[in-house]
Amino acid sequence: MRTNLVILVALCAALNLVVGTIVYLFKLPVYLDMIGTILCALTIQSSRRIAFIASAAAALISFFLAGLVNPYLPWFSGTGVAVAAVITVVGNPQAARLREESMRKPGFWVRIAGLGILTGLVAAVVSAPVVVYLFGGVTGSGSAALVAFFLKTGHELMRSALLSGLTAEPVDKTAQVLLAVLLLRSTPTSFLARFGAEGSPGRIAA
Amino acid sequence: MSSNGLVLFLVIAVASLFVPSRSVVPILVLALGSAFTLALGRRGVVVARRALLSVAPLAIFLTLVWVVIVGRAPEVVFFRSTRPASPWLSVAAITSRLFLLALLTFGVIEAGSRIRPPFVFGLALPREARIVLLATTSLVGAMRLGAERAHTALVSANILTGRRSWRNLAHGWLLVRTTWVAAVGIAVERLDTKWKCEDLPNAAAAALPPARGLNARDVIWTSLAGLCLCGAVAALLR
Repeated sequence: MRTNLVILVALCAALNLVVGTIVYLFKLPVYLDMIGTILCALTIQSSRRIAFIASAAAALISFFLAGLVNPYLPWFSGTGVAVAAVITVVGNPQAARLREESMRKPGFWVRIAGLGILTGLVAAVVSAPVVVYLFGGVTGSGSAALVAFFLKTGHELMRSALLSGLTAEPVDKTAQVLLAVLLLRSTPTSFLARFGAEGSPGRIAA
Repeated sequence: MSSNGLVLFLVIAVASLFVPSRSVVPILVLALGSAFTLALGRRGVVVARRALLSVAPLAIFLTLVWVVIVGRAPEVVFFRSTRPASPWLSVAAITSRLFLLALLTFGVIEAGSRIRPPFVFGLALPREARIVLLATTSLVGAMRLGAERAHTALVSANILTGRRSWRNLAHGWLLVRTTWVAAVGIAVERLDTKWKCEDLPNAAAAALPPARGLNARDVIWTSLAGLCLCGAVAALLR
């Protein structure tokens, strides 16, 4: 049993859930519900397979527990797994650089934007069928206005939901990637070292 | 009902809602959901109210989009392609199924709230998954308290405000960072000391209730849900 890994997954799943509370305290019109998933995929450096499994587990657990309050959220679990996969494949190899690089360099922001936009595009594609088939294209909040706009301009329902997602998701996911990277930079090195980060033996301690 | 019986009932009942057939199955599921809610007694009223409240904002947005702005029915209504119909009818169809989904989910959660320890820990899941669930629920409580404490401190220090503001947008990440670093600090310290001495994973696994099989009530409710599912599939194949 890998205690460190269990605790990391639990911490990241809890972060996914708690950030919802923080967003409520801020009274912000956004849903930052995958920061823990992204952070988990960036933290584990020992193996990409483990990074994906752990981050997908964090996403699934947080969606399952969130479903006890909001019964519609678990239907977006697939989006959580897709985000975990993208961050593991594209973001994980850049994690050390994102952690060390100065925030004053344009390269840092280009990397964040690239990762956020890519993740947002994938999330939009995976979410669109759920939005269409389950919710009739409308999930509430600002996305309803976007879907209505695209429908009014003559697009079909699936295309409207997809275009709405492609418009909104990259912004949301870029914000989430940025927050996750800021948290990664704040995380103590002694904790990161347990997951194969630079300067550690490169394996997950039991 | 047992934890596993509740989840099995929910999965089968919800699955019958998603079979894309034009049949009386939604009415059957409504009857099933109503019976299940009535079986909860007075708490059933709370469940129905929660389900209504959860679906109300979606109903408003659906009406605004499809009836007021677009003025036609969506091409897909709950997993089924539709011919042109009244937007009101389509909105009612989507909303009523979402209401049933919420009613069944909240009903199961309410029924599970009687189970001690909490019913999610009694689910027949792999050992690791149950331990992670236990650790997550434990950490969520600690992190929420930490977030509220940090929020109070940051508002007192005039870095954040208690209202919607640009300052919250600019400095809000400090609250997320404070909460995360505090939680990681606790985890790192305990991983090396307390949890190591307590042999955390094994102790947690031992503390969890054993995953029990289905009881008579589980079988009755699951069979009723199964009948709804069979009816939906039969209507689809006909």
